[in-house]
Amino acid sequence: MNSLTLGLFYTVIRPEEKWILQAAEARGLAVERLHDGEMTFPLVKNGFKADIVLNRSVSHSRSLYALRFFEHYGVPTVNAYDTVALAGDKVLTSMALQAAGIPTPRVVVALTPEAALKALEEIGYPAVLKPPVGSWGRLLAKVDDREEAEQIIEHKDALASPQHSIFYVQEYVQKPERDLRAFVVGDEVVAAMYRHSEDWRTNAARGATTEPASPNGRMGELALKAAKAVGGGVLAVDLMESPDGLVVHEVNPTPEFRALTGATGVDVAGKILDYVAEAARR
Amino acid sequence: MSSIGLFYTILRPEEKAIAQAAESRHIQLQRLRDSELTFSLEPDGLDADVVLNRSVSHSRGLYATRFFEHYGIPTVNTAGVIEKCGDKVVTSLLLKKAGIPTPRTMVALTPESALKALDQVGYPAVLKPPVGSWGRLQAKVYDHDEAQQILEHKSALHSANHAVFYVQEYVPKPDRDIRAMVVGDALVASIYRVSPEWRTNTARGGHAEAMSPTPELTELSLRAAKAVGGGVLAVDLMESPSGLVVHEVNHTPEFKNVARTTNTDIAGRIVDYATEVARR
Repeated sequence: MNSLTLGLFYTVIRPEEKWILQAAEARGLAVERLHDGEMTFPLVKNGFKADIVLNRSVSHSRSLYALRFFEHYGVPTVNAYDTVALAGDKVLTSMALQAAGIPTPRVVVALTPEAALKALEEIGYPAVLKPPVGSWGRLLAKVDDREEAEQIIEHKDALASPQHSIFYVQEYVQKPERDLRAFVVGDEVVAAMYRHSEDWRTNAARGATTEPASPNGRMGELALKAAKAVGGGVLAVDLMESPDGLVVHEVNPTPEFRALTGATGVDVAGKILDYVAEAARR
Repeated sequence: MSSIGLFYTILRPEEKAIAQAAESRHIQLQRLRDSELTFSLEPDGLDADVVLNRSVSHSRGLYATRFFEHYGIPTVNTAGVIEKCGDKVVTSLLLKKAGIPTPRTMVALTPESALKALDQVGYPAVLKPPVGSWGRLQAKVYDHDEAQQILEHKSALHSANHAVFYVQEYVPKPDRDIRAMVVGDALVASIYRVSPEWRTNTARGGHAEAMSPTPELTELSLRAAKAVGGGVLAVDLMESPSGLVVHEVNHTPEFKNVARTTNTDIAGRIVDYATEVARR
């Protein structure tokens, strides 16, 4: 089955995508590059031949629409549309984690600025206010009291964006100055790391430093359960060490893995490619 | 049957008619205002047997129905239907898949590829935001130059919804289109929306005229409603030179004009349908 063609749906070729291209070449897989800024999508399949599409677009909305079309054309995708839709939205992720019985921080959602203030008071301060869709910790706010809440909500309202009109309020978890990221591919936690930061947002993109962590034990078990709860695939599961034990707070459907590869030396791209090749043959 | 939860933003004539229809059927109506509710991950005290979504906001309706369903409460329409109809891209894919005649459509994800999509569909073309109502920010684009200008303005909006480009062929039609109200398995009323403007939305000044549905209209609107998951839906159709085409399905339709023009008790039909869903 060497005639398999992998469609790489992408925005820019970052180190992650370079590694993916190298891993494909090493496995004798042909790659068709599908640039998210160049493709047009008719209602009937036209103009590309990939047998399976690996989504690496940096844009959540482009990813969602493109995956819808690929699936409509009968082409399998990694991740699947449903997984990206679910994991890409913190509200839906929280519901899925809660329904699966996975420990996750307390969350209250509100749909208007007035109700958001109520939700913050219900959770209690400090609380964390997040846009339901978004990455790299952008526009997340740790809110310490009611006055700050009113100011932040007023600014969100001024953004006049549907994304910032849905208010996802989460309890602030007292954690050490680090969190955990576990990278799941299919049924395996392939690598894990701590992300250290004095900032409460520990995103590597915000300057957190990294350190390898054991992918096994309770952490590995929770990460696999969380990945399964959102539909499975290639996923980065974020966990925090709360006073009551590990909690899962987020699952990323199109994760970067440069920092993780650097910290652990694991060939994450190779693991992804093996999984994609297997998915294509299913 | 104990109660219907009415999830709403403001009480328009439609919601008032729904409240009256519930009262005349001795059904308790719980008012759930979208700006007052907060939603935790565990159900907290809400005991409606079914929730009828009438929020004017697509995103509020969608998140709220997801929470109600997460709590185990049936919804009209369901979150799945709201998600599918609320997004023109998804609706088009489902109509196409169901073999329902629908205008030629192409989607692009950046302004550059949108220009390509417009050139491919050919001019005049119609450019629509995937999510939105009342014809707002829809543009009929006559040539490549105009396309560039509109796309530049859309980019300046810096909005995710205006960063996805839904391009549709312009269908030459009479000065009207058709709106068919479907409730469950029945076409309950249909009207022409007449307007000299290409956007025939009554919110834009189009006026409603009664019509009697042809078998073709009945069949297509019921199939379109089914393709998106069914429920309380307004199916929009155009009379193209090659027959009726479905271009849109609305998940939380206003129906004041349809009810008045056709003298149909649409609110009553909706309440009966919600009651039936609650019993399932």
